[in-house]
Formats: sequence, C-alpha cells, structure tokens
Amino acid sequence: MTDLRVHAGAYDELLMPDGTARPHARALVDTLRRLGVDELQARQDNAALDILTMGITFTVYSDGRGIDRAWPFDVIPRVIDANEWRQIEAGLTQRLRALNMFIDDLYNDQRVIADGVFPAELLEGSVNFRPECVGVHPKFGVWAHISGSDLVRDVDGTVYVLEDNLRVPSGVSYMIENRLISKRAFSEVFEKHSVQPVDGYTDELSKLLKSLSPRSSGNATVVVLTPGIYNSAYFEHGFLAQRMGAPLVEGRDLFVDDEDVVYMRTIDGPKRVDVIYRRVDDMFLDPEAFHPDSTLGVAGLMRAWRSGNVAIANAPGAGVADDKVVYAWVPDLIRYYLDEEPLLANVPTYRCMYADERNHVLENMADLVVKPANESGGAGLLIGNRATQAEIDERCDAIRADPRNWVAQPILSLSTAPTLCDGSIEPRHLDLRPFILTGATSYVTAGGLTRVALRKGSLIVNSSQGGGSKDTWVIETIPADPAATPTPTLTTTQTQTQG
Amino acid sequence: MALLSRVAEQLYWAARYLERAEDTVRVVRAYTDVLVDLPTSVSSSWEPLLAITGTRSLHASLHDQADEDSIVTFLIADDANSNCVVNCIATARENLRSAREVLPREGWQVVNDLYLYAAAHRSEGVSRRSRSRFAERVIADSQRLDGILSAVMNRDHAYEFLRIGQALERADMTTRVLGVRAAALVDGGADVFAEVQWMGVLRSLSALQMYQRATASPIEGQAVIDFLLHDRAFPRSVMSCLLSVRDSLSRLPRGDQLAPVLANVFETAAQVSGDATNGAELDAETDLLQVALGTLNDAIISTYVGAYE
Repeated sequence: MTDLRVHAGAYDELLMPDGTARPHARALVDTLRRLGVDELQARQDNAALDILTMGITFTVYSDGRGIDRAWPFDVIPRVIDANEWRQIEAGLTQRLRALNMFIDDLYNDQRVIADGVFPAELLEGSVNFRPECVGVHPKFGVWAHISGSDLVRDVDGTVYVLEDNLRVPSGVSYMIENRLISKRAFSEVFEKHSVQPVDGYTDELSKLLKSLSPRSSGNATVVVLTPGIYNSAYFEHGFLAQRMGAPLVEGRDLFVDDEDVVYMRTIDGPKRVDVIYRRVDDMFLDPEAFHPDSTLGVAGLMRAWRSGNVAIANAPGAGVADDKVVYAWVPDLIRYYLDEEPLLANVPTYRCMYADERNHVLENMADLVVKPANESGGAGLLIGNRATQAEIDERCDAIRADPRNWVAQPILSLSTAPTLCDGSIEPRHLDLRPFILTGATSYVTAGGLTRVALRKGSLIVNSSQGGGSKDTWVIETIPADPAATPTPTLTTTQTQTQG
Repeated sequence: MALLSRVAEQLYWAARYLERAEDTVRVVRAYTDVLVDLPTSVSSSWEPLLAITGTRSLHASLHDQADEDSIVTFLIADDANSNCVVNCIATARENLRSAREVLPREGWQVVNDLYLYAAAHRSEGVSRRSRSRFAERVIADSQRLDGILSAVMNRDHAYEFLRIGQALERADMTTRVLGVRAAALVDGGADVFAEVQWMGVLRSLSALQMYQRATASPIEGQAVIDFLLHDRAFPRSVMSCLLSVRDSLSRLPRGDQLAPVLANVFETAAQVSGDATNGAELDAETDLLQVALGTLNDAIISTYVGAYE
C-alpha cells in the first residue's frame, strides 16, 4: 500500500487532514494506494507518450520562433463533489451575468456610476476601456461570452474567485484532452465513480456562437480567428475549430468590404462571415481602429461590428471588467445589478486609492499580496512574507506615489492534491479554471482545467513556468452513503468597504 | 463547407511533400537494392539519385564528395536540403497543423507521429543497415494516412486538394525516374545488366509486380516505359495520376477553367513515344512533360489561391 501524504497548512482535495480519503474520492484513493508508485509512473509515461503522439502541445515563443512543448499532465486526477460543484456553478453564472450587465452599462448609460456604486475616476484610469465601443449594444447585452475564472481554495476550504478572465481565456481544449488521456490511464476508476463528462463544451460553444449571428436567416457562418502558429494557444484554436467544424482563420483570410460586411477568402470566392470567435487581443483586432501596424487583425472589423454586420466573441472592450481594481467591486456589482447576495467568495481586496485601506496595507505588508492594477500574469506581484525589507520599502513608496494603481489581498494558501513527482507521490498546490459561456442562457463546464505547481512549495501553476495540469472529476456521490461528511460550505466574504 | 484558399493551398502542399518523402525513400531503397545486385566490377554511381530528385547542383554546392554516404544523407536527412525526406515530412506536418480543422483527427496524428519518428531516427534512414526499415516506416505511415482519408474523410473540397497534390507529385516523380534512369539505360541498351536496372526502375516506383501481372512478359525497356507512362490500371502511372487530377478538378468550383491546361498535360504525356532506342529523345520528352506538370501546378494555385489575394 502506497502512502499518501497531506501538506500541513493546506486543504487537500482528495484527502482529509488525517490522510484518509474524502468521501467522494474514496474509490480513486483506494486505487492509487493499491496501484502504487511504479504502476502509476508507468501509466504516467504512457500518458506522456499519448500526448506526444496526439500532438497536444503549447507553444513557447523564444529566439524568434515558436517551440512546441508537450502538454504537461499529471496522471492523478483532482476530484470535486458534485453537490459542491452545483453551488460553484451557480456562483459563476451569477458573477458573469452581473459582469456582463456592468460592461453593457459602462459602454451605454453608466447608471452604475450615476448611482454612486462605481467611481467615475476608476473608469477614466482604465487601460481596458475602449472608447470605440461606446454606444454598442451586443445581442443579449452580453460582452464576455466566454470566460475562464480562476478559482482557488484556502486552508479552511473556502473557494474564492481569484480572477475573472474576460478577454481571451485559454485552456478549455486541454481540459477536454486531459479527460481523454485519463480515461485511458484510469478506466477502472471511471467504472466506480460517476464522473460528469466534459466534452459537451464544444457543442455548447458552437450553439452559443451561432446564436450571436446578426442574420436571422440560414445557417450562420462561424469562424475562429487566431493570431497564428506562434501563439501559445494555437493548439487550442485548431482544436476548437475542428470540434465545431468551423474554419480556423487568420487575419489575412478575412476582409471587410465597403458595405462594412466581413468576408473570408475561399476557393469559391468571398463568403460572408456572421460570427467571429476571436482569440486575438483587442488592440490587434483592427489596424484601422487600434494598432495601425498590426498584421494579425482585419482592417475595418470594428466598422463591421459597430454596424451590426458581424458578431465578435468576446466583444471588443469586454476586458474593462477584467481588472484587479474592478475585481474589488464585483460583490457590489452583483448586489446592484441582480439584487442578490454573491454566491461565490471574492478575495478581500484593499484598494489603496482609499486612505484607510491604504494605511491598512502599508502597516501590514508582510501579510499581504500586493498587485498592480493593470498587469497580467503575475507581473509586479509582491508576496509580503517572501519579500525582503528593501522590496517592501520600495513597494510602500510606489503605493504612496500612485495609490490608485495598487490593490492588496491576504495571502491565501492554495489547496493541494497528491501529484506524481519523480517516483513519489507528493502534495502539490493547484487552482481551477472553469469556463463559463454566457448568451441567452449560461453554461458552466463540469469542473474545468486544474493547473498544478509541480515544484515543491511553489504556487505558480502557469504551464510556461513549470506548471502542470490534471484531469478534473466532478463526482456524483451516492446520497445513501452513511459515512458521507458534509462538504465545506461556501462562505460569502464581503469586500472591505471604506469607512 | 467553404474551404479557405489558404487552407486549400496548405493541404495541397502537405500532400505533395508527404508524397515526395515517400517517393524519395522508395527510390533510395530500390537503388540500394540494385547496386547490391550489381557485381563490384561494374562501376556504380549514386549520382542518378541526385538527378532524379533534381538536386544535383545544390548537392555539388555543398559537398565535394558524391559518394553513397554524402548523397544518401543529403536525400534523407540534410537540413541544407529542404527536399530531404526528414524536411519534407516536417513541412507536410507544418502545413497540416494549420489545416487541422479540416483533416480527420487520426490523420493528423499519423503525420505528427511520423514527424516525431523521422526526426528521432534520421541517422537510421542513412545507414545502409537500417535504411530499409526507415523507408518502410515512412511508406507505411504515408499509406496509413491514405487509408484514413479514404475511410473517414468527407469527399469535400479539402479532400480533393489532398488528392490533387498527391497525384501531381506522383506523376512528377514517375516522370523524373523515367527521364533520368530510363534515358541512361536506353543508351547503354546492350548492357548485360540492363534487366537488373530496369527492374530497379520498376521497383523504385513499386511497380515491378504489377508490371509483371499486367504484361506477363519479360522486363524490357520499351514495355516498362509504356507501362509507367500510359497504363490506365496502375495507380502510379502518369496516366492514372492525370485521370485522378481530372476527376478531382471536376468536383471543384471553376475546375473547368483548368481544362485547357490539363488537356495540354495529357497531350504532352501522349507524345512521349518511349522510343527505347533513343535516350536523348526520351530525356527531352520527359522534360517537356515536367514543364507541363509545372504549368498545371501554377494554374491550380493561381485559380484557387492567387485570385483572392
């Protein structure tokens, strides 16, 4: 029997603090113990070979060329109780409804500002607000059709939303491929657990995209717009196009005519395009409207979109709500737009623009994570208990100089799960990225992409920085199980308010 | 479903490059076998392989030696030669990678797997001991892809571009082998080893058994040339390849616009007399056929890709 350890000071997704299995993970944990490290390693090696052969890669751009790396996958799945998942799902759906209403409001009436709920000066300072989008009303009032929120679980079991990725979130293809690989590796455990399938996502995405078509007649032509083979998520762009039967286009495959209609260049001549699922950032979408030297986009695309001749998902400008300062307002936005209490916890966020919150931050630097408002991917992040005094002093000066650009949060302990590391099974930190589709209705993936920090003690789950991934199982538990213990309840944490 | 012009072009080139890789290993393998059969007193040169693949001057510009090792390395695994087998496979994969949404998933996997194999085993493709095994893997994977496409791919425009690329490359290689090898052999007609070498020509196009079955006659220059050029039943003959292109074009939009160019290729092929006694003439006639095939290639690209650039 192989020993499975628990990391002191972190919540383990598979194991109770005493090392016994969580009820919904019992069959999996039994199997892991029975198989032992050598057999797991053998299955891990087979999985790695499958990944290589199937060409499941991510691209790292360096030295002027794109290098394909095999997708890093840990064979031991991460599990979630379906009862808990239903609550998370409801919370994510609620969050995205409110965020979309917020974006639509910002580009139109700005009621939220007039009503004093959201400060006008924040909007003026936002680098993600696009004046080109003012006055546009996309179908269903939805701007962020596809989002991928990052969730983490703190030591007490509370699940927090860490970030709302509303621009071009990636990872969903790996979620689907991970399931394919883990079905091969663990077919016997799938028989013992009732695991929710994940590959309905692409059909839901396809339905959503078609529903956005501005033309009511006929079958909508949907395309996936990629920046090209050097993009880190190029694999995913091709995967989604393949699964939806949609052409994978690059900017050069499209053009906009004088009537502001978008066409693609086919062997049969120009063919009208109704919906573009774009995986190109706002600023590169249209050289007429944004970066004039961008070759990735399509000249005139913004004209066509504003004229209502083409739908773009996510809509340009949706990123205005995806910002570390705006994040602090999300619980208030949910209350304001939906008149509901938030179902998912927001990490308490101190906004340095307010004197009292700023003073709290300056006095408690060692216990906080300090983040710049408009950087992405962990850039400029300062983790108080890992920083030197000099770094802290320097950051304090920066906060005093430009308070509006900084927020701070308590240091969360990311949950762990047993992970195969060089011949032994060790607890490693992880997060979860579910994907949320919002249109006339909402859809949330069953689980999502679990990213795991493979280095001991590390909290960095990014695949370009030594992170790996796991298959994520949302498991239906048998209600009659007498040994079942209650799953941790989701507590709603209020943001720090001024005063 | 509508096919992007860019994707059509990528499919076309992917098919050409894969066929080129397969044809090259076939030719190298057959040539190796022929040289083994010849007595050591007969001087053997590997240079005809350069002539067949049209890389003589590139090779000469890079290498002083034209021995077996230098030439086979150059044809199988030399990064300086964009048409070497390993590079052809990499180029095909690169093209298919941007066309994955129209290709059956298993089809992409075969090509990706072959790419990984070829990159990892490039030296085995060169070494005489393992050359044949390497060749078999390349041929087998190329045939696996054919099988997958034939079994599960929609007969849509994407499929036709793959077929056209494969057929044109195949016709091109058959023409090259005929031009170079046959012309040289025809001139040395009295050579006692001519039969062995004609056999090599057939083998390099995997045509030996089908030739024997179709003609039930001994291996003889004139008949071999006729078979490889004009036989309508053998799928690697120039005639069969052209019929396949004609069939595919008939299923594509505006395929009729290409009819005159295609007719010219048929005519040029028909005019190759295959006079087994006149090597120089055969050489000149196959050159003309090459030119006609090149014109068809250009016309296809400009009709389906260039028109909307």
